[in-house]
Amino acid sequence: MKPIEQNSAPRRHFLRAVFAAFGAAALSACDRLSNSKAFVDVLQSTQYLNRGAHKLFAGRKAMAQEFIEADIAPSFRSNGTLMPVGKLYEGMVNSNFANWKLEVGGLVETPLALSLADLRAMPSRTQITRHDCVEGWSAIAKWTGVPLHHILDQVKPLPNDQYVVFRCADAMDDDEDEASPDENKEKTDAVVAAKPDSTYYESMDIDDAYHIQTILAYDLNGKPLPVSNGAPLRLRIERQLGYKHAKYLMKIELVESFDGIRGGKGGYWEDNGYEWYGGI
Amino acid sequence: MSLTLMAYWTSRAGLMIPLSRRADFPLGQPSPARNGWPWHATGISFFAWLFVLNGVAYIAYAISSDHLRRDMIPKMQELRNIGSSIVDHIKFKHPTGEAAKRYYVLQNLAYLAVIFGLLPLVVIAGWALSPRLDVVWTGWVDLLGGRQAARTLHFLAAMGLLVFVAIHVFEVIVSGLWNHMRSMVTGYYRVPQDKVPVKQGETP
Repeated sequence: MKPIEQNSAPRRHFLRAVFAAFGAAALSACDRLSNSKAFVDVLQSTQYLNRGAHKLFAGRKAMAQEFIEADIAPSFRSNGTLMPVGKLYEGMVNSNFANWKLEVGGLVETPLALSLADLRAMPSRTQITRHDCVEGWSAIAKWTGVPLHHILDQVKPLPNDQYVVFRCADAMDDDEDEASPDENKEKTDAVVAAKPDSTYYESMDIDDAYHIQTILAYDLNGKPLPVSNGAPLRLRIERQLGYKHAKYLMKIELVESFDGIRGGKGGYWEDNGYEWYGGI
Repeated sequence: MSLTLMAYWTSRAGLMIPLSRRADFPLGQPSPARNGWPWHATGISFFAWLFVLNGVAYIAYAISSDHLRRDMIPKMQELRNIGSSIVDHIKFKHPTGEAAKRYYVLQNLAYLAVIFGLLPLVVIAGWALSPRLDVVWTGWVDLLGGRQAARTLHFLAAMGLLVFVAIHVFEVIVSGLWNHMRSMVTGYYRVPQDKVPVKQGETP
C-alpha cells in the first residue's frame, strides 16, 4: 500500500498562496475598474436602456400595483432624515407649517406658491402602494395628496421642459458627529443660508411627472404626514425606488437639463453614485 | 465571466451593507460611494443584459442544434444507474474510455438544473425587485410570494450559482485540469484509458 504522503504542508501553503494571489488580483482589478470614470459611465448608461425597455414593455402610463386596507403595514418605517436639523425647519414644525409654502417655478409660464391649505383644497388622490427601499425592505402604506399633474397644469410648463426637480428642507452636508445638537442646528442654519443647495434633492422625467400615481402626499394612513416621514409634504413616485420619493418638499423646479444643478446627476444620492433612473 | 463579475457585485451589495452598518466594521462607517447599492444597481443592470442575451442565444442554439436532446437530457438507463454514479463521484472515480466522451448523469442533472432552474430564477426574481416591472401584469410579483420572498429567492439562486461554479471547477481540476482546459480551447481531448483489470495473483 502506498504510504500517505508524509509532508503535505508545503503544498498546502503553496495552494493557499496561489488562491490568495488570484483573489487579491481579481479584487484589486475590480476596484480599479470601479474607480475608473469611463468604466462607471459605461455601466451607468445601462439605466437609460432599462428605462427605454421599461417604457416599451411596461407601458408609460401603466399603474403601479395598489393594495387593500388590510395590506397596510402596522407602522411605516422612517428612513434617511428623521428630523431635519436647523432652526428654520424647527420653526416650521412649531407653527404647524402655517407659513410654509411650496414654490413651483423654473421654466414655467406662471410660477406659483402654494400653502398647505391651498394643496388640500385641490383635487386629491388616495392610493395604497408598496414602498421599496434599496436597503432591501418594503412597506405598504396609504398615501393621500395632490397629483403632480394638477399643479403642472396650473403653472404651464414650457415646451423645452424635460425634468422636474424637487428641493427639500433637510440639509445633508452637516457633520453630526462633531457638534452638539444645539451647535449643529446653528451650523446647519448657516450652511443652509450660505449654500441653499446643501439640502436633499431629487428629480424625475416629464413622463413620470404626469403619471396619475405621482402625487405630493400630505397624509399618511389617513393622518397628516409625520415629521419623520417628510412633513408637511413628500413625493410619491410609485414606480421607482424609495430614494426618489423626496421628503420635506420646499420647491419644485422645471428644467431642461441637470447642468449646473449641484453635482449634475439629478439628485443627492445620484451625485454620490446611485443611478438616476430608480425603476431598476 | 459576467457570472463572476455579477457574483462580485452581488457580494458587494449583499454583504457590504449589513456589515458596513456595524460600528465596528473595519473599513469604518459607510460613505454612500462605499456601500454596495449603487454598484449592484449599475453593475448588475449592465452585466444582466449581456447575461440574458447570452443565455437566450445559448438556449436557442442548444435546442436547434440538438445539443440539448443529444447530450444534456439523461437517458432512462442513466437515471436508473444514478446511485452508482453518486458512489463513483464520492470515490473520485471518473469515467474512462467511451463513457468519458459523454456527460455523465449527475453532470447532466446539474447543468439542466442551472440552465432551466437557477438561471431563469435569478433573472425572474431580479425582475420582481423592480418597482417599474410590477406594472407589466399587476400581481405577478405575488406569485413569487411578494417582494421580500423575491429578494430571498434572488439571493438564494445567486448563491446556488456560486456553489455550482465552485463544484464545477473542483470537478474539472480533479478529473484532469490540463486535459479539460486543452479540450475547451483546442477541441483535442485525450480519452482516459480504461484500466486493465488486474488479475488475481499478478503484480500490476
